Amino acid sequence: MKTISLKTKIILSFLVIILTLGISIGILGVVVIKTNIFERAQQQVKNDLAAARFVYENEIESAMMVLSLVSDSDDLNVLKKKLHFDYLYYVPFDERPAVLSSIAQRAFDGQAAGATRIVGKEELLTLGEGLYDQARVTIIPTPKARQDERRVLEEAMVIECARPEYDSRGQLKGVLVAGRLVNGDFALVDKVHNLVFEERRLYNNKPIGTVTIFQGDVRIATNVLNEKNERAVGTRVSETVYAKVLGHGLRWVNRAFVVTDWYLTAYEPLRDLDGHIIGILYVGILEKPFIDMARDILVVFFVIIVFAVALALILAIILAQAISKPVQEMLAAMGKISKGDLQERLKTLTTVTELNMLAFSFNDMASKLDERDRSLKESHEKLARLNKSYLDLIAFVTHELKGILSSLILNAYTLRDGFLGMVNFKQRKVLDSITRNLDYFASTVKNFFDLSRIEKKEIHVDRKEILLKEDVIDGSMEAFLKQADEKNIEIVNRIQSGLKIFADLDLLQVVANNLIGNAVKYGIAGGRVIIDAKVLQDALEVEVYNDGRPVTDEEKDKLFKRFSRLSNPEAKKARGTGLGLFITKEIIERHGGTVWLEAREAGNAFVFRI
Amino acid sequence: MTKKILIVDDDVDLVEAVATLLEAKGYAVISANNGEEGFKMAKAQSPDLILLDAIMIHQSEGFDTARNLKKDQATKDIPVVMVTGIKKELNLPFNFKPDEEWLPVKAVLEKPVKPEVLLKTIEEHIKK
Repeated sequence: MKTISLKTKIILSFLVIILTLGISIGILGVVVIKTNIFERAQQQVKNDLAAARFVYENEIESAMMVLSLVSDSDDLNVLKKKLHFDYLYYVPFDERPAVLSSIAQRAFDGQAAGATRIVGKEELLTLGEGLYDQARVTIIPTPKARQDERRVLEEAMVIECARPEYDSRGQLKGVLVAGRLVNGDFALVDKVHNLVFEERRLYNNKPIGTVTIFQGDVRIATNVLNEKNERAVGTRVSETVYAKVLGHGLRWVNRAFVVTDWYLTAYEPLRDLDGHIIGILYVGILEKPFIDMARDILVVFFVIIVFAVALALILAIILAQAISKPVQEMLAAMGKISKGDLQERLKTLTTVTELNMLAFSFNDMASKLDERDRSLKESHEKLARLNKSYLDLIAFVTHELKGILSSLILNAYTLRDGFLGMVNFKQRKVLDSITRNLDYFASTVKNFFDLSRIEKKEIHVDRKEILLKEDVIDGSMEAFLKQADEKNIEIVNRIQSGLKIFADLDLLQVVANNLIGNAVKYGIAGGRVIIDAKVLQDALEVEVYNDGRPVTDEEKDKLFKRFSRLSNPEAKKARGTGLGLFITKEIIERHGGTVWLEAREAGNAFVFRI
Repeated sequence: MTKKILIVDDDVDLVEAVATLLEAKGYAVISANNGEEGFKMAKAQSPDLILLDAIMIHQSEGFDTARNLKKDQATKDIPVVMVTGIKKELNLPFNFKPDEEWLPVKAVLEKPVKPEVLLKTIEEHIKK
């Protein structure tokens, strides 16, 4: 498992919390800005559209009011100019059939009327000189706008009103008709704009509030500007708005791309007297100021969040430091303790209570360890002194015994072997026993002597290339032949001549003597002792086998220990100090090798590998 | 003619045991208890063989004596057999074998030595 430091973990945890909070707050900010600014602005646009509609209707009303003051006896041409009509005429009752205007027809029915209407080219030409040219609008294609083949608007949109005229008897004698071209009537849209948006404020040289009157889908009066900062007359509405407003006669409130920019917009259909959709009334607010405002707010938001994150991060680092520094010190101290520097102590004055307690326990542990270590060292020294005096004693005693044994053995053998005169059968038996026991005595002394030297680390391993069979095994076999004969044991040496081994000759001799001596001593009468060697890749394995009862695993463990002897009947019969295998093991291990016992089907094999 | 053997050893019991054996086998035995005395005796009596203990009072007494005997014109041809208990006692960094330069002796016997071995070695090396 991948692990990270406590400090990193604390800081990361903080970071996750901070970022989660920051992102949440950021999202919240965006949502709030959207609902508070954009949706409210959109709502405002909707209200503005209603206001614009009201101003527009009012325009028709006021035209009707003005017309009510005119009579057919006045000079209509003069009045037309004064009253800002584009046309003003009187139609006597008998000319009614020739009148195209549905508004005028309504007046013939005896009812004053005012409304918006589309006037065809033919009629327009009859209405007044220059009116057709004044009304003519060239269609300009713009991005996102609807496209078709029309290039010029032949018709015109007018605000028209008509009222009946009665004679003195109250008979309807004719109708007064007045109208004003909407096409190119910027005074109208500016008026609506000024009333709705109060003043003509600009943002980057563009009016924030815009008003447009569409004839069909073409702008005929507008304060929306094109790239050249001219009124974008002749441009067209987008496909979506066209379908919704002109196609289905519905209001459309949303953001929309108007000529050059995005606006928050509201569109609704303009209808003639009969309720046919003939155009659109539009109000829009430039989106850019809101976007910029939202961006400014978000930037402030972001700065605050960044500042908060930085602050929290600093706090996290301080906190992490406060926790992780003492922990790291503790780790370092533990490292020192484990290396044996038990004097190491920790400060117990951090700002975290638990850490202080931990440090206190640590110090307590360290002092106790120190104390224990010291008493252990003392005991160890005592033991070492004791061991040395014990080893010195063994060395001294065995040395003395060896000296005594030299003359004792020579005397005993001299006597036994008849150098000093004939010995009789009974004397010979006693002398045999004496010499046998003296030999055992001597080998025991030798073992103890070796033991003391091994334990005092006085053995020096002088490795040389020697011949295993010729230098070591042959001599050992020779030494035990007589003993083997007595037990009718056959010693088989399978080691090939000339096999080389890199070892200390004297020490290896001790090993061979011990192993072969053991094999003869513990082998069953009439059995075999087989000595063999195997050449391994980078070692030599030597094996000394004897027929006999296979040892158990439990016994195996005991065998190589000092003074250990097995408690089975065969072992009890044979005598031994329990030192031979211990010495063997020590010697092999000083050579960097291993020795072990393998229990076989009908015997045991001691194997060592150097 | 009776062969004369000089035993040089500080172990009086061992000297006596060896002497007993050798005399029983018909050798004439003389003895000394240290290297210096042994050297003088060898010069004076020219034995046919010297049994020399390796370590007496000083660790190198036997070695020194062997070398002195070799150097001296009167004693250089007397065969010396060294008897020692030191083989495993000293930490010798080489195999303990007779050597003309370093240890000019005919044979080295390890204590305790059996009569058969001792007699065989003596017979092998004694001046004919």
